[in-house]
Amino acid sequence: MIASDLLDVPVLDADGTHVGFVVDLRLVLDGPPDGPLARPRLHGLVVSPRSRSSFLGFERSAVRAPWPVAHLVRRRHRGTFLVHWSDVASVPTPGEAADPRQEAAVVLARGMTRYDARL
Amino acid sequence: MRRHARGALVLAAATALAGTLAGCGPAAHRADARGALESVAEHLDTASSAVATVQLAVDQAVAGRLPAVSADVAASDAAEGATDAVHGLGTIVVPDAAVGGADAPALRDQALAAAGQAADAVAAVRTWLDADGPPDALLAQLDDAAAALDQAHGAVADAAGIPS
Amino acid sequence: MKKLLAVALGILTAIGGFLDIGDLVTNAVVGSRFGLSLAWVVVVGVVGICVFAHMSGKVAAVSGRATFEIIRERLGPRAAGANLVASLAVTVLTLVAEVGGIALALQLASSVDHRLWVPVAALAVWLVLWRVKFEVMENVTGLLGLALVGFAVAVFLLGPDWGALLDQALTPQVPAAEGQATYWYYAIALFGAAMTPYEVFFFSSGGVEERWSVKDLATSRLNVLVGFPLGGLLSISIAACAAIVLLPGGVQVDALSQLLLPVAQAGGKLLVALIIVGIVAATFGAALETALSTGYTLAQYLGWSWGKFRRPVQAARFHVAMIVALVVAVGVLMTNVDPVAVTEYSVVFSAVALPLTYLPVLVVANDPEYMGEHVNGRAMNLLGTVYLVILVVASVAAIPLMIVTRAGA
Repeated sequence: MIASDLLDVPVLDADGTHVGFVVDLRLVLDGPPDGPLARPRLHGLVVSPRSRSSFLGFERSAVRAPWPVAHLVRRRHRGTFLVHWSDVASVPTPGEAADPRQEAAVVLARGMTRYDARL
Repeated sequence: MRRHARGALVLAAATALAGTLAGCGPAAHRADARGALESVAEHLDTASSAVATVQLAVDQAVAGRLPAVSADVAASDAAEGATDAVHGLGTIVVPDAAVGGADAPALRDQALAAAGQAADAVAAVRTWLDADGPPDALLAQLDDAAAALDQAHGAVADAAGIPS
Repeated sequence: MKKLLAVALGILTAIGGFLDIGDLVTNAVVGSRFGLSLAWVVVVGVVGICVFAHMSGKVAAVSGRATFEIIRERLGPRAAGANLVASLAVTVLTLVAEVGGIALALQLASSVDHRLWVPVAALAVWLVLWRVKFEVMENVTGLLGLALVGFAVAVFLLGPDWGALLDQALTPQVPAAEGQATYWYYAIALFGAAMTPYEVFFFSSGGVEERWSVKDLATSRLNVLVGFPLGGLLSISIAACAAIVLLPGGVQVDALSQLLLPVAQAGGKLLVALIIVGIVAATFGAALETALSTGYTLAQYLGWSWGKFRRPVQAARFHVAMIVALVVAVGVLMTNVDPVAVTEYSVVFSAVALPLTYLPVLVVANDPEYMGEHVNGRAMNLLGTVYLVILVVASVAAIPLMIVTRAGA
């Protein structure tokens, strides 16, 4: 699986309700050393309720300038949350086109926790 | 969301295309007589500008201020402009009607004659540059062409009610 | 002393490099139709290009990376892709205009048809891109482009009614013969000509090519803040030349050769020769910059190795991209389009693409991860945001105005 299999994909909760789109992946570097850095591990998905557009870097709470742009982007992405990878029940398998009319989706596990996505 | 983005992109492309077509498309498609006369006036402006350009160029070539090669380029660019005006005037469809008390096709014919005279005068500049004789006859020919264009423009402007 | 010389050289090349075919043609057209009543737009445009060129130069100096690489990394493929498509399309269109401009300028000196000069010009551009070192290329075209100071000299020699000119410039009015919409259409065209998108990409990639560091920040700021406004002053003197000689004579500029008429009247053959050298250098320099910018943007988006500091064999795709762009330019010009008309469209489409190019620059210049303590200050952000609003308004208004005015007819 590669990152673009997940990015932009719609997200459904366990009941099949649409909750948003994957706009970013959070990785942590805590694996065994691999070259100069530790091997990255997928920590979770950032899900934005309304928009697939880019966060332009404004997901970091310290980045607030220029104010109008930051405000517009944050507004567009309000309600964005982080789900841990362990709370993801299923992901679209590349190449599997069950129903071409239906877009592939990430399905979240029942009882998953919405974490604050801000950095 | 993605569908919206695609729609917006198509819309933008269509607008750009429409804009280009509207900008470059032949003015001949203006159906009404007044619109046609506005086009006639624009072509007359182009021809006048070409004549004014070569008048300046000839003056400065005579005064020894403009190199002959550059004067030649200015003259050939102007000749292109004047010929374009003649072709443009020739392809305008003028409805057979009276506009502002004047006969629209007659106005067009007057404009076409003036533009033709202007194109001839501008073309004569290049011949003069090659031969390098006295400029008096040439300048007189250019003045006559400019006057004819002014007259045609005035008549068209009066009829169509546009500021000249 | 050596440092002073470097600063002087930077400023001089910035002046010479500021003008390109878009500025030459648009200012002459506007001057011959509107006098100096649109000179204020040049001022607005010059302040804008100073703000954004300074920002992208700073990004390059602080992070050691070109702005577009960071845009791709920070904004993600889609937002950066929109930016890429918009700026690449406009840059290639500008390249077409610049190559056509070289050919037209060579025609002025030789009377050989410009269509015959097009392949020669493109070949020369390619050879320089391939063989000549970045600094040499920049300095030579910039310094020779300085010959366009001749336009300012011409204004003085023409001895105009300064009061009337100043009055036109300071209390702008739409001339009686022109419509409101046409006035604003040309305002947008002038704005687009001053703020052409390729300039920021070129400026930031050039900073990497010349290996700027934080130490060079002051120099780069000085170059921009002194050089560009002086370049803008030359733009206005082109418009003034046209306003003094061509406007009263009833000449509407539609060819490059008409730019020479006021110059000839003012300074004779010598000044004309100087201006022709300046036009060739300015369009040649701009053709190099736009060709490089197509290579820079593509390579930086797609992660290819790029730059003239590498040998061509080490940045093969970068060089191929530039060759393809040049071939496209020659192909377009060979269809017998009028390079002046291409230029007029290119500056308007520049205005359309401006927000997509400049928003990411503003965002990246605020990113502490790349910029550290050098993120934009409040004043810079205020200016940047104000300009963003202007850019969006100009961009949205450009196409409708083009349709309404039938491209300024």
